[in-house]
Amino acid sequence: MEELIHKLKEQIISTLNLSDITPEDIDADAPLIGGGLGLDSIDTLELIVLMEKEYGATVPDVNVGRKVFSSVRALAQYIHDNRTKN
Amino acid sequence: MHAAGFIQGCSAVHQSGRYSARGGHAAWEQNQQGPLDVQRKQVYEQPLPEFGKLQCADKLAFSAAAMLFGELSGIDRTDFGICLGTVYGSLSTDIRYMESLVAGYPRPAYFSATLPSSPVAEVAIRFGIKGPNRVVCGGACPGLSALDCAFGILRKNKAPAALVMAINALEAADRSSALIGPAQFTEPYAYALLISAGRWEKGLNRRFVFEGEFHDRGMTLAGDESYFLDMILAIILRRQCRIAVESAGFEGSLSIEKD
Amino acid sequence: MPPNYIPIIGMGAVSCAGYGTAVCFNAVREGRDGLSPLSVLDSGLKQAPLCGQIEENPESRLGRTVQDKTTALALCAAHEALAQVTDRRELRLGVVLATTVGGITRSEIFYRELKKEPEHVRHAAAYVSHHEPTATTAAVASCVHAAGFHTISTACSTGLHAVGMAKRLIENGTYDLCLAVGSDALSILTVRGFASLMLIDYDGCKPFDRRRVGISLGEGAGALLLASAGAAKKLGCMPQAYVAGWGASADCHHMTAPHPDGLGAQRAVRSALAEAGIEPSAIDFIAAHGTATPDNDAAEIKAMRAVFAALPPFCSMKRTLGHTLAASGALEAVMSICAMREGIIPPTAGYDQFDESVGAAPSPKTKAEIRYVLKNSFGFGGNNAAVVFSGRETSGNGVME
Repeated sequence: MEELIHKLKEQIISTLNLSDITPEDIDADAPLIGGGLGLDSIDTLELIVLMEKEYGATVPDVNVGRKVFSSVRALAQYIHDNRTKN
Repeated sequence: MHAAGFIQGCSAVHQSGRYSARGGHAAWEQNQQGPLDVQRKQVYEQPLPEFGKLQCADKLAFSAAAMLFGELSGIDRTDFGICLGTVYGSLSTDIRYMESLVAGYPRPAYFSATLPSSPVAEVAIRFGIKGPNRVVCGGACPGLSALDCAFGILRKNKAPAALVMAINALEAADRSSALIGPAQFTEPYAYALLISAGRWEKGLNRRFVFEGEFHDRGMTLAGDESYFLDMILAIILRRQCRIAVESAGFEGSLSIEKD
Repeated sequence: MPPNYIPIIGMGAVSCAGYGTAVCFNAVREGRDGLSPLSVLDSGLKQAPLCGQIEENPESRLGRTVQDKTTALALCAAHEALAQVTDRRELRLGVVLATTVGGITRSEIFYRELKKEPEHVRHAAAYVSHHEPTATTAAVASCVHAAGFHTISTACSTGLHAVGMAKRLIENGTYDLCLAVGSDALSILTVRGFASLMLIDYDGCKPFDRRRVGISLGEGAGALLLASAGAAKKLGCMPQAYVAGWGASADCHHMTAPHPDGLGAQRAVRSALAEAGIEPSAIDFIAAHGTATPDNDAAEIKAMRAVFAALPPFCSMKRTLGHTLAASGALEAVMSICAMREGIIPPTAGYDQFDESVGAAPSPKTKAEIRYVLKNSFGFGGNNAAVVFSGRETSGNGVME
């Protein structure tokens, strides 16, 4: 799980093009959206696309998305439970 | 057509470096290829994790606006207008979005940035600007059309000042996309001017006259609208200038009067 | 008639309801559901969303091939708007065209082919010049022999901005006549883009309805021919209506969601009313943007309540015509003017259940005296447009002649 969390942090940084941020800067349990990273609803949608593309884990709508993206750890858990790829 | 106003701020992000009214000229670092490699801290003091996310057109417009407003602390921007002239709309982003779609996973962030008006929205959001805005695309001199729109806004008292931006957001990589002809490529740039109808207390107050006639002889694409850079240099060097413009889209002149 | 009220002497429209202003307005008057499962293109989505699509090829209407559908639709609307003007003589005509898609319907096909077959780049020249929105404007301008043209693009509000810009260009004396056109064809890029933003209601939009979840895309074009008072007189054309005021603003809030209190919308509307020189109470009906996203409809009515002490009756045409993006402001403006002339407030197709959080329901009327109509159009990135249209000449004491 820790490996997945670290990989996710790297993918979030690269997909969302977050400059000045390293994986160490992201707290695995802190809120992703609306937290210190400056992520917003479009980023939620970008992460939904990332999930599907990299892990085949579908997020059916934005409401589920909000729970799934409540933290990197929550995200890792969702992928663990729902992945169909890799 | 004759219009006059006062320039209260200016900036440019250009192949030759960054320019601003009070800061003058700053060259790019060794490892920077040009305007699209701009770093946040070169144009904007506060940390902004979203800076890296900005698509080409948005990044150029944001950078120019950031440098300009960075030199104008304490002014209330809320009611300003924004007029944007964009050569290619958002071609770079169009390509990136199309790539993502062809790969099967269309990127929502790219899609929303494919609107030619996206840079205006970014600047409006980041700098708290709520006044009227205009976006003119293509043609031979979209920046001058945007300037014309700005004077229209001021004349009708719709805003106390207008931010005029002229941008060209093409990347070198776009040359090989086949969506633009090789002869049409121009290096990316962003120019910004803040224009008011009257003088401001403690303002830069460079009087500026814009006169001539627009005409459009078919679908000519803009060159580099370098007259904007000429004006910005005149402001930085505190000189007067009269720039004659004879393009496929406009015939007339831009004059900055004596300081 | 106040001197800044600019006459509209011609109109044109094409939509999923059909070709021509009268045909389109028949659908609006009835409150017809104009949507059908997307079939004019293969979006690649698992479920084909309901869209306002135009199945009859505009090229067959024009009798020739045209570079792309957006341009073809624009030409159909433009020709209709200019139909009454047979001899323009020395009057200068300008064109302001609003589009978001432009020639992308062709570029996206080209791009796909290019990915499959790099050799395809040999055909690039045919597509290269049509990718930019200006290509559409240039084609229309050349067809109508315009003295000059301008392309604007501010997302969904841009069609209405075209009308406002045309007003300015006439007021400035740049042109004697100015055609404001909004046109957009459906494209895979747009359909997939809105789908990726999760803004689409696959089962058809339900404006202002409690159950609304998103938009239904459409394609179409609207055109309005504006003239200076002098030009209208010279041509012997009776104005069908007037553009009385134009307001614009930025929400300064978010790239794809409107400000929840509709602050930017309020600004734009107030600016339009001020330019028209009227109080909010003079507005007889609001042709709303009403896209049926949960956010837009609530924010729009909240904004209108803040501006109007008594909320005027309102409608949304998005289920009848689809959300035609850049065309919507112009196309729905044409429909609103038809409604004003006929004295009706059209029904809102797709609306059925009252929503407490919106707090108001669309209210159709088969007989109404309409002197002023407000048209709203709000775009992505919080770009807001509002235009006030006024009816024909009124005598000194406000009686319509």
